[in-house]
Formats: sequence, C-alpha cells, structure tokens
Amino acid sequence: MIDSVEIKDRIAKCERILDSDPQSQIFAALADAYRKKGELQRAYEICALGLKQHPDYASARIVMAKVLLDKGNYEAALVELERGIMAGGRSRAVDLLEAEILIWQGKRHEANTIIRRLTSADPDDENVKSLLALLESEELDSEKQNDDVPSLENLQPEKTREKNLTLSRAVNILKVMPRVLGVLAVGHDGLVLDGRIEGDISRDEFAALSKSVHESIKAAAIKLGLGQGKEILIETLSTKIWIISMGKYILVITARDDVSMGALRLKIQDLFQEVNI
Amino acid sequence: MGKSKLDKSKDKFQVAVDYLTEYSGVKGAIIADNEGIIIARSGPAEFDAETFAAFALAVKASIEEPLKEIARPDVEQLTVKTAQDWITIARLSPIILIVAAERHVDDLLSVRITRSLEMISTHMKAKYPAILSRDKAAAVRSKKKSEGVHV
Repeated sequence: MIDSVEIKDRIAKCERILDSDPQSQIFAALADAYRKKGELQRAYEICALGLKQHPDYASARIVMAKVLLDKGNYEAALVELERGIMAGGRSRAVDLLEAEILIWQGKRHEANTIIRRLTSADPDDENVKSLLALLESEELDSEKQNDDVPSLENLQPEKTREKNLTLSRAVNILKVMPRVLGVLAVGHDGLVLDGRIEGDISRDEFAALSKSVHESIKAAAIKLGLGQGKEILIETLSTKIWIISMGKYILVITARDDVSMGALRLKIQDLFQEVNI
Repeated sequence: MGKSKLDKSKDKFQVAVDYLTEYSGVKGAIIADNEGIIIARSGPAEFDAETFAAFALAVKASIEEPLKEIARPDVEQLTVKTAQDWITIARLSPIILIVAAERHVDDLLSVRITRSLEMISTHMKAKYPAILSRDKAAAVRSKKKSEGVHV
C-alpha cells in the first residue's frame, strides 16, 4: 500500500527543491509522486512544464508516459514512451511499461513478444508474471467480444481456461488493474493464501489486520441482528480498502481513492466465480 | 420541488437526512454525535435508528486499533454490505452520518450521500463554528500524539 505520509513528505521535499531551483530536474519525481497520490492532472501539468525546459530528460518522459497511461490515454502514453526511449535508450522498466500500454491498447501480439523476451531473461520476475496474467485476461475478454481476433499459440479454449483459473492467477490479474495497489486472498485463519501488496507493510501483517477488521464488523452486525457482513469498504482521503467475503476466504483489495469501483467489481465477478482453490 | 425545500424553518440536519430517505431503497438515515446520541433521523416508524447508531459505534470502537496500521490518514467513510443491507457510516467530525439502504440500491446513492454530507458541513460551519474549530484542534492534538483512525 502506498504510504500517504511518505508520499506527502516526498512531495513537500521535491517542492522545496523546485522552489529554490526552478530549473531542477526534480520535477519528474514530483510529478511521479502526484501520480502515485492519484492527482493525475497536477502530475501531468508539472511534468509537461518541466519537459518544456528539459525535453531530453528521459526519466521525465517515462513519468509522463505513466501519467498518460493512468489517465487512460494509451496512444499518447506510447508516443511519450518512444520519446523517452529516444532520449535514454531501453531498460527493463521501459519494456515493462511498453508491454502494459500495448496490452491496454489491445495490441496483444506486440505485448506478448516483449513479455516473452522479459520472461526468458528473468522467469521469476513478479512484474512480468502480472503482465502475463493481464495479457491473458485481456485475451479472454477480447475473445468473448470478438471471435475473429486471432488467439496466441498457447491459448487454450476459453471454457477450459476459466475452469483452470487458479486463485494465484486471478489475484495477479486483479493486481495489475489500474490504480490497484494490492490484492490478497486471506484464509479464515488470517493467513495469506495468495497475493501481493505494494508499500512498506508486509502482506502477512496487512492480511491479519484486514481479517481482524472483517471479524469485528461481522460480529457487530450479527450482534445487532443486521446479518453477516459480506462486503466492507473503507475509504480514506487517498486509499480504498475493500474486503469481500468469498466463502472459503476473504478477498482484500487496496487501491487508490480514484480507482474505478465499477470496473473492479465487474472484474472480480468475472474472475473469482470460476476460481479453483 | 421536494417537500423539504418548501419548509424554510425545517432544521438543516433534518433536511439532510430527509434528502437521503427520498431516494428509492433507502431505509433510513441518522445523524448522531460521537457518543451515538441521535441528532436527526429520517425514515418510517419501523426504522430502528438506535440499532444502526449502536452498530456505527460498535464498529468504530472495534476497528480503531487494526485500522490504525493499515488505513492512513483517517477513515472518511465506511460501507458495510450484508445480505439485506447497505450501511454507510460517514465521519464528519464531530458527527457521524449513518445511512441504511437495501442491499441492491444503485450506486448513485453514493452521490446523494456526498451531497448530504455537504449540506451537513455547510450547516455545521454556519451554526456551530466553535464546535468545529474545537474538534479540529483536538484532532490535531490527537494526531500529534498518535495516528489514530476514526470511523
């Protein structure tokens, strides 16, 4: 989970530096901090202004590409990423970002080529695994909508795949949705079945605390005759924590406050109905 | 034009809760203070406001500690969906707005809740500025001592 205090500190620090030196390249870090905070328009404005002064600053181009991706402007994100590559060359992080943009654009073959290259270099990279899960999920969605779209060589028939959807894969797909910071499947004993989470807090600790919150609210609801709590949504200024009772386990999702709850709900319904654990 | 708009003398807290219960599927709405004392309520006679206020307090008391670790800064709103109900507890210190609706009411209710909170906030600023500033000062003091979380 993003630590909002840490982000605020980072923003304050970057702003101080930028105030004392308006020519500083720190604008890229500032824009990225605002992006992580969910203030996309502010992130965009800061980055655009800075890039006018430092058009060849590759890292800033990458930040701008991330901002545009988060805004859902995939075409512009790819253009910006290409400018970043021109200025600073390729890196693993750049490849990951390019693959993600391509997936959201629906250019699955191109994305798959990059992901395969990344997988062969480091098969255990969690970021690559998540992208692969996202790619496969988008392929399924696309197949449902349009049978004419060619599938990848290793794509199995849709029904078989849905039956074989594991908890781990479903969690990974959910984790790479825009603005989602963490997804955990937690057993009734409070132990993590699967999932991962961004930030300083460990996933085990987050799982145990989420379980505790879930149990407390469930008990209060039962005691007052309101029935069993099925879903709990906790909203702060910067974060949303969504705890959903799934029968054998609870699903805990933490996301930025500007996450699309509707899209998330649809994805959860789509993924977790068929999950085998 | 809604009935509440015609009645200029009506308490603004009451207007805010009535605005919520005008929405289809809303069972009732309550404004309570930090101790669960009901300030305004709206809903049919069978709507058990005390039960929901007690639920909000019980939730607040039981989740403060665990939430301290995982939800920073303070919790603004908490939504609980049970098999039958959709309960929203929104904090607008020093008061709490509690809305009980049917489980499957459409998500536009959230917009109405936000508007109702704005009404309450405006009324609080106009009528009880001293309470608000006292509460803000207390919140700052409390935050300095620890990063407490309040529902």
